[in-house]
Amino acid sequence: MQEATFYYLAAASVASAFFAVTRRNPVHSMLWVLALFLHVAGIFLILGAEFLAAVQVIVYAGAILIFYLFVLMLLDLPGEEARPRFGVHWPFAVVAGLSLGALAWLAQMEPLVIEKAAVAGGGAAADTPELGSLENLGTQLFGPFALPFEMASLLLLAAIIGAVVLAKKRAPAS
Amino acid sequence: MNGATVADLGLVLPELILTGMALVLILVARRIQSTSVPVVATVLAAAAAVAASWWVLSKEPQSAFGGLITVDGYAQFFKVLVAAALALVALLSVKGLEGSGAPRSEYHVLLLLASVGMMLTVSAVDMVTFYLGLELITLCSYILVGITVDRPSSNEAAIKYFLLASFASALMLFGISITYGLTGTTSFSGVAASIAERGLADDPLQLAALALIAAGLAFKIGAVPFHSWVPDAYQGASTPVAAFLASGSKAAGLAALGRVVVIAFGPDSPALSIILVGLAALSVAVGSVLVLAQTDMKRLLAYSSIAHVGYAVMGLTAGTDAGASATMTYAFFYVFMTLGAFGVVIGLGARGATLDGYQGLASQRPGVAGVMLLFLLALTGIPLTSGFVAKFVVISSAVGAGYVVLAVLAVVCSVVSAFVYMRIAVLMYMREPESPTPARFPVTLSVAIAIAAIVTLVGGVLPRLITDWAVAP
Repeated sequence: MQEATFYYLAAASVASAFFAVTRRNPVHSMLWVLALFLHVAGIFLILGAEFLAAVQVIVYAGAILIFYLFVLMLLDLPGEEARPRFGVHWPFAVVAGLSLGALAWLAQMEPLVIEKAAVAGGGAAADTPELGSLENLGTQLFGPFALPFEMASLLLLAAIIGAVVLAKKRAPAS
Repeated sequence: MNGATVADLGLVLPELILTGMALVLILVARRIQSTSVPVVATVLAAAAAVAASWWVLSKEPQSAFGGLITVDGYAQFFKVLVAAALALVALLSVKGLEGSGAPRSEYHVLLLLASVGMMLTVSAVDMVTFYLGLELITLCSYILVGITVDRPSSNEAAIKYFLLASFASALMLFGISITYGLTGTTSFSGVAASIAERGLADDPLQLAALALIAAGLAFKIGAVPFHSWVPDAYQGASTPVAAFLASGSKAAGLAALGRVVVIAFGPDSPALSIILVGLAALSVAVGSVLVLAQTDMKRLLAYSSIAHVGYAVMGLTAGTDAGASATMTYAFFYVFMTLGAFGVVIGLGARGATLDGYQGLASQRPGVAGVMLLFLLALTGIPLTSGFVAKFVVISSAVGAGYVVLAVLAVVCSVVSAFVYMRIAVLMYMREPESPTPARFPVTLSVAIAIAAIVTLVGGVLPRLITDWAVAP
C-alpha cells in the first residue's frame, strides 16, 4: 500500500513538473506547480516528516505560489504566450537536467548512511533519532542548532532590511 | 554532542559586537541618516571586534556550540582581517557614497551583518554554519550592490549577481546534501573521518559532491570559470561596495575554501588537487589577460581581483599547512593593497573612474600619485612591497608541491598583468595633465589609504610580522 502510494506521488510529481515547464499559459504552469508542491508534501508524509509536509503546504503551496502569481500579474500575459516557449539555451537545460538525474540515480545506488547516523566523528546532524517530528525538530533547533538558527534569523533580518531599502521611495532631494 | 551553553556566547564575542551594533543602528536609523554616526559606530564596532577576537583567543583554541564553529588561530587571523576590511570600507564610504542617495545607516548595517557572516564563515567547521555564513555574506552583498537604486546599472548588476549567486548556492547546497547522505555527518572532521573509513575518496558520488561544493565556493570568490559576475557587479556597485566585495568577501571565501580543503576533503584527494590547480591556473591566466583590455578602473580592479584569487588558490593546491598559510598571507596583503587602490579611485571621484583620468596626476597631486604607485607595484608583485611577498609564498608553495608548470604560468601572467598596472603609472608620471587638479581627499579617506599603504609597505619589508601569524588550521 505504502509503496503504491509512493509510486503514485512520485510519478505525479514528475508529471506535474513536466507540465509546469511545457504549458503555454503561465497560469496553467502555476497550477501544475501547485500540484507538484502538494505531491511532494505527500512524499514527506510517507517519510514520516509531518512538519516538513505542513511547511511544504503552508509555505510553498501557500505563500510562494501566491507570490509567483503576483509576479505573473506584472507580466504581459498575451505577449508571453505568443513568444516561443523555450529560449535558445534549452539544450543546456536538458543537459543540466539529465546530469542531475544521473546524480540522483547514482545516489540511489550508494549505501547512504543517514539511517545509521552514528558515524565516526559525529557531526552536528549525527544524533537525530527520530527525523521530522515536530517535537524533535524544535529540540534540535533550540539545542544543538541554536547557532545556525540565529544565523538564519540574521539572514532574514538582512533580507527584510534589503527589501525596505530597495523598495522604499526616496525623497527627490536626497 | 552537547547543546550550546551560555559560555559559548563568549566565544562569538566579535560576532555579537558587530550584530549588536547593527541592531542599534537599525533602531535609530532615521535619526542618524544624514550624520556621520553610522561610520563612527561601524569603525568602533570593528575595532572592538578585533580586540574581542584577541581576548577570545587568549585562551586555548576551542570549539563552540557543540562543534559547529571553532575559535582557533586561523579564525582569529581572518576575523581580524575582516574587521580591518570593514573599518577601511566604512572610512572609504564617507566620500564614496556622497551624492549616491544610498541610506547611510542601512548601508552600514548591511556592511556589519555581512561582516558577521564572514566571521562565522571563517570559523565554521560544520557544513551548516559554513553554508549559512556564506549565504549571509552573499545576501548582504546583493543588497549592497543594488543599494544605489537611482542608477540603473546598479539595479542590473544586483539582479545579475542575485540570479547567478543563487544558482551557485543551490549547486553548493546540493553538494553538501550529497556529502551528508554519504557520510552521515555535517562536521568537517567527521566528513574526513568517514571518507577515510569507508574509502569514499574515489567514489563517483563523492567526487560529484566535491565538484559541486568547489564550484559554489569558486563562484563566491570569483574564480574562473565562475567569474562572469565579478566585473559586472563591481562596475554596477558603488565603488566602496566593490572594494568590500574585493576585500572582505574574497578573504572569507578563501578562508572557507581553505578549511574545506585542509580539513573536510583532505589533502590526499587527487580530484581536489586537480580542481584547485584548474581554478588557480584559469583564474590567473584569464584574469591577467582580460585585465589588459580594461579602461574602466572598477572593471580593471575586478579582473585584477580574479587573477589575484587565482594566485591565492595556488597556495591551497599543495594541500599542506604551509600552503594554507601562504594563502592566508596572500589574502591578508591583497585585502590591503586592493582597498588602497579602490581608495584612490574613490578619492579622485569621476576622474578616477577611467584610466585616462590618471594622466599627469603626479604633477598635480604627487602624494596621491605616490601611494597609487605603491599599490600598483604591490598588485604587480614588485619586491619591497607586500605583493611580492604574497606572490613569493604562494608560488614557492606550488613549486614545493610539484606544480612547476603552474608556478611558471603564474610568473608569466604576473609579467603580463604588469603591463596594465605600469600603464597607469606611466599615465600618472609621464603625461601632461588634461583635467583640473582633483580636490583634496577628506581626512577619513586619507586615513584609510594611509593604513593600507603602511600595511603594504611594512608587509613588503618585514613580512615575518604576518607570515608568522598565518598558521593553518
